[in-house]
Amino acid sequence: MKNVYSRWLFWLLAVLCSSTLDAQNVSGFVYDENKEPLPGVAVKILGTGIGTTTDFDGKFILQNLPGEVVNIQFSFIGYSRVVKNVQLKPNETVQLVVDMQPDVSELDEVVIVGYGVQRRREVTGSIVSLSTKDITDMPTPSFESAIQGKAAGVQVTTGSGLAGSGSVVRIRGIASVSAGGDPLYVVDGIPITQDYFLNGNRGGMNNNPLATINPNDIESIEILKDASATGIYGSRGANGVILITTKRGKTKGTQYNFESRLGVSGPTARPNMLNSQEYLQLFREAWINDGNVGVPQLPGGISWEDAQNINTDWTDLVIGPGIKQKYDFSVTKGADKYNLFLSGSWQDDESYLIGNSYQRLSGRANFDYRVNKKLTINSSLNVSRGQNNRVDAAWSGGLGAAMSTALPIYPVRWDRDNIDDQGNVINQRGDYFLGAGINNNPVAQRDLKTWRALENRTIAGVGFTYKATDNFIIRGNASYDYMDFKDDIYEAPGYDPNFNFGRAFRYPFYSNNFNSNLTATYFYNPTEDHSFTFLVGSEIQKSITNRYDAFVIDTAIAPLFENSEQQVTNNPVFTTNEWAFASAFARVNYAYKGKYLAEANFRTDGSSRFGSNNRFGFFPSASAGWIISDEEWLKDNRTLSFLKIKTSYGINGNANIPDYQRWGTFSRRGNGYNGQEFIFPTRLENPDLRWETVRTVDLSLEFGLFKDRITGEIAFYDKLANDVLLDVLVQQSTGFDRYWDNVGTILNRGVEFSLRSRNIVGDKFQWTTEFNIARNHNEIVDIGPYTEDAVSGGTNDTRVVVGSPVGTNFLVRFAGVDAETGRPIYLDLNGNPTFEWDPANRVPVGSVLPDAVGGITNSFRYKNIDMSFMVVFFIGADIYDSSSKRQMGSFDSEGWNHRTDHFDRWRQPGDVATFPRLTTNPAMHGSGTPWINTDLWLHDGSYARLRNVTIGYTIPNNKLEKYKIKDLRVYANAINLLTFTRFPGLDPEIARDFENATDRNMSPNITFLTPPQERMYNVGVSLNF
Amino acid sequence: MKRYKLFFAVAAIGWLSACDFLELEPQSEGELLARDALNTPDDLQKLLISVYDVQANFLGGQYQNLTELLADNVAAPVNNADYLEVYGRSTNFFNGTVGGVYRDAYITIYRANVLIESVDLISELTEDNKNRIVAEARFLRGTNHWFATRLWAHPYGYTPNNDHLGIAIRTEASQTPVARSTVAEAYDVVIEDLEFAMENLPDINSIYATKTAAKAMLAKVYFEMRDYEKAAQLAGEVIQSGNYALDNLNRFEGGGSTEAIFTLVSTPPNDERAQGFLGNYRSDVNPNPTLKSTLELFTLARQDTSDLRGKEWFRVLNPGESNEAYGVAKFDFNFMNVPVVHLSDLMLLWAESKARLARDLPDALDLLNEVRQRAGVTPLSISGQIAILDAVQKERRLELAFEGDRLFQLKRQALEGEISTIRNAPWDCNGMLLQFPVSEQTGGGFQMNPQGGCN
Repeated sequence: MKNVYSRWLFWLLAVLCSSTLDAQNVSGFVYDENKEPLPGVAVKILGTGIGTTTDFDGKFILQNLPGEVVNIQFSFIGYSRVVKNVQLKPNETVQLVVDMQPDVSELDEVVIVGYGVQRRREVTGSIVSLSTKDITDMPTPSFESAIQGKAAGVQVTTGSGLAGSGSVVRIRGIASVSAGGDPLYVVDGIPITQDYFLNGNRGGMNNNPLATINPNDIESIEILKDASATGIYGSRGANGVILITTKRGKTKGTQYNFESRLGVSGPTARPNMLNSQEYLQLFREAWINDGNVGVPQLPGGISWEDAQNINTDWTDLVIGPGIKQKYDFSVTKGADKYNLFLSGSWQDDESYLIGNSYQRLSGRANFDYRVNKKLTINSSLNVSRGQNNRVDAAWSGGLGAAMSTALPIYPVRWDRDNIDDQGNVINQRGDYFLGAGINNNPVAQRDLKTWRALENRTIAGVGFTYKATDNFIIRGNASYDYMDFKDDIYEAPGYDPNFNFGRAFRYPFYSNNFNSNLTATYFYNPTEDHSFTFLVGSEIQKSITNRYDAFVIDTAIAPLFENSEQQVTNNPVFTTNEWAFASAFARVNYAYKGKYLAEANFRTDGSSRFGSNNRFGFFPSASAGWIISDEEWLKDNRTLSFLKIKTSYGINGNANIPDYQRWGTFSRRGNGYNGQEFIFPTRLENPDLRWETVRTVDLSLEFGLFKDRITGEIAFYDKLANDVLLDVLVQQSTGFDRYWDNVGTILNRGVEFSLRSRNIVGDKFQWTTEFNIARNHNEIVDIGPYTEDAVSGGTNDTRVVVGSPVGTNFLVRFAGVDAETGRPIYLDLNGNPTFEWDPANRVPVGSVLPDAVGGITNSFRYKNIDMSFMVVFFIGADIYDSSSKRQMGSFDSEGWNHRTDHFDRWRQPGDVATFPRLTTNPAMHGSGTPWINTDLWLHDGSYARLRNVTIGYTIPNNKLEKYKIKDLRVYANAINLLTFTRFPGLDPEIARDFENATDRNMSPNITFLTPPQERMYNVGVSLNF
Repeated sequence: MKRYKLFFAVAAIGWLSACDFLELEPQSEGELLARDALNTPDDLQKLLISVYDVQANFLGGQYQNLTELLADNVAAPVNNADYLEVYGRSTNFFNGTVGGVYRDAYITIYRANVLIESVDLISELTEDNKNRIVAEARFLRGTNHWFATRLWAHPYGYTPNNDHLGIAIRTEASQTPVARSTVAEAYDVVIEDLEFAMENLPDINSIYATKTAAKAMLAKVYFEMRDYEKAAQLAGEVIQSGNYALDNLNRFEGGGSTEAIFTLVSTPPNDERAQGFLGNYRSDVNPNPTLKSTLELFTLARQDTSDLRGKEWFRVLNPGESNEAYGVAKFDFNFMNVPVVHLSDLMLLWAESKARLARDLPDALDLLNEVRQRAGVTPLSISGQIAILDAVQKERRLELAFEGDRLFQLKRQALEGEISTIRNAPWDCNGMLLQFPVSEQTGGGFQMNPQGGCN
């Protein structure tokens, strides 16, 4: 003790002796790049122990300084260090105003991680961060489609051209088959409901629950990819985690932001269907080829003569320009005691399908209140109302019908009275033509059907941060995510010929999702060289979803939302589903000298979905990093400004399967056979069902060159999924269809590369290039005792084949057209030609998964003009054009229209043609059925697409000051302007409307009348004041 | 430090309560945990109803239509690719309609097995009820094993020892994959079940299976095994029981019929079980039904202008036009019962058996004429085994047209050496058997039917 005392005394004396006893002071303010006060900046006199931090107003004061030249350093995470050289005269108080600029190296930025934050340079996991700008540059209702092409290893496929549709997001390939392959979405610490088919699948696509979140409210998105980063999410992290952080009040004062956008949309491609003459010509050719004479009987009761005079272009009747508009207003306010962020938004997003739009009204209030120095309370509230005005599409009609069974020989309306043999007028002139059913008259279908999906949603969270000491922080959070979703359909009289009255249907669905967590963080720095951060926490989550079968109203006069007095005429069955998680977790971060880094994560999860035998799973992970460029021998290297190597290893899990599979169940139903109540077994008990686990090893190198003018990262990973959950088909003779089993092993191995280069950094002209690419190898290593066909789902012959990727196209090979007979030639298993199509001859011929995905963005700024181009690419995935097997297959009584591609068919001996002879008899094509899957319909789906072109102009500040406007930017952009592909179908970017996870994993780009993507043109304005 | 302790205490309490928190049971309307499902005799009765429930769907036309598609009564189907494949005698293991029919057959069997295995667990169940329930379950299980064998395996008698491949036999409620039995084994199981049912079923059992139903079913089984002796014996007992009498022609009409021996019923206003018939055949509401008669059968039916069956069961569609077709009117009902076994079937069965045995020929002719007279046709006065056999077979085709009988009649004739082709293809070509669903291969060792060879 004495020793310490004397050391203090020595220092005191030394200070006193080296200066006069006059009091020199330095005080002043620190501002950020927006001229806002910057609190918490460390202010330090170099070479001394003297220092302070700025207060909430950015103010600082250093008193009793020595009267000499001092170097004062200002530092703050995410900002470049500033050093001021100050000459202090005796008794002088120097006033300083310091402007700090964000650190362009970005290495000191704060990155959001699970249950906390880290500095980017210290991160040892694999995380991609996206900022507001990255998220809002795409004019889409939902943020996830804006990620496309911006994050290495993240594959995003935008839903389709339908308004409000969701995207398919895959992080580092796909490691699941029957369990959900979607990442976990966490908004401000709240894991949210994301599945867009929770309320079933009607009409080819559903509302996207992620569209609840207004992209303009988002501050940042972090995508956690490796086991170390996702480890803290344990069982939920196997398919990656996407953390969304919304904006909060930060700076002092009040700031207003207004943004608006106006746009127009059309399809990226139009179907090339036959017109009436062409259709009749080819149909007749098929008829004659089969040895018939005369003309074939036409579908829909249309006579050959009438058909000659009708030529309806159904595509023209369902497609029109869609108008899009969006208005956003937000207020950010900071005061001594509180911060506030308020926003409101209205969006009306029409697609190019006539009658289809998505409208969202949303608001957000994020509030932080500092009770005292130790306790801060925060809350966030997001309310939104998403209304989807729907039309039929894909397999359910509309544009899908225009591409299939709505034939050009069908009129929209009768052009004369339709009179039967007895002289009765069945249809009057002007009535809709419904001879082929309402599904084949897309105009009548649209006019006679009112369809609205309405989603009301609230995501609310409240939490506290208690800083017990500077080193010990306790945080707690409780949240509630509520969704009320109603799909309302009204079919006017005449819609269904079986009913001469209107009918209304409602499909209600309610989802409640509760989550709460409590964490404690302890910072421990025993010496200057060693620093530890400990985090422990626990979390529970429970979800309750309730739904009814359709409410049916026979003899309805209006949709239920217009007239709620109508009596429901059926007795809908109510179902409820619950699942819960209970978890405990811990994390330790260790840094030695700030350059040797290590982290370990542990999480134990219990899930209600598993039986007592395997209820809890333990998911550990560890990682380490070394900032090589901080070593003495590399510190002054002129080329290499930053170099970090990091590696991680860990185990994650996946429990994303339907609820209650562990239980053996029976069902009880009334009104069964002979009007009796009955009970029957529905599922067998499955007590051994357990977690799907993923073991990931990761190695990556981060680098910065030329003072971080060029920064980048290269990463290698190896993900091995074990106990993969398969919803396997069992022998139907057991009386069941399927059973969940943990059997498979799947490997994903890949490399990711991303680069950011500021090519030109002049005052007037700047040019930045960002580039990323990820290569993934996916392989099913094992599927236990099952066959390729063992997994239910796998629409259109994608199968699980050992040695091939998930979603392998398993098809009979088509070898060409026999020039003599015009019959198609197939190959048997041994590669020998045969005229017989036999599914026993299926082999793996393609894969729905891409070999590589990525994007490149070039941004330019010249004075006040900015411009950017973004190209995304998707290489090596095959597309199975499932509809083309009918559009270019045999002609039949179900009456599909064909495509103009089909002109390239065999007609006479000696012809070399792509497609076989036309026929009405599938046997002529070697099969009993007209629907046959062969690799003739499998295409290379690689594409590159000019996803976004934006040009903007920022009006100079000096012209705005008198209007009290801080910032004003106007811009115009074009989305999906150009697409380069060899895919002969409509649009190569395809996300099918599958409600079951197996199909979403296995058959994502099996297109079936899928509406093409949108091409959009927008103009917008953004204003800060 | 005190605060830390509090924190850990809260965390620990939370963790300890996690186990209950995670114990979530299904609680949807009508959903029961297996352990709570079967506790009372009433529960078992309800499980039994569920067996009939699936059976009524299985035999509501779906099964019968597949048999007709392989035979020569119906023309090429329209608007149904799965049916077209069956008609083309080249079903593959993805045929959803075929798979669905197979599935229903075995759901019935599975539920019957659960029932049979559960009766001893319910102590309050009386011995009578127990015997009845087991007998009903075994009646349906035996029937379905037989029905599956008939479509997915070559017939009894195809090989001398009947050691050709049969079907999956399921006499236990088990998930274990099984391989195919032989046809001999399949028939053993079928006969054992039906004999048990015949002995233990009550004489009267509301609309459900009775002793005579089992007897009649067994008669049909023996008839198909070409054991005409036993077939005639059992059928004779049923006919002579006096419980059944020929009704008018519309034995399918809702409300029941005096000639129905075992019927699956539809219950107005919402429960229509014969959708397989109505949805595919009805030509009164659909100008282009999926299934229509062949010209050959139509011509046969209208040969005798007084034959009510020709008049009432057929309808010419688009007469005189290039697309003239022969619609079926036999199933023009809104609610239809399906008499799985009925009196005219057994009468003709008895007559044919006797004719084949060359015994009681005058009695055989009498029964044949009773069936003819009911249809408004003049009685035949013929004699001799061959003449009577021919007449009975012709009568059988007409009387049971579209009811799912013709295919088996033809196969039997083939085994008797009377014919060698069915609709221009070898009667026993590969495609005459339906293919099993793809999932039967799960577990390995299940031999699928070879395909092709019929065209």
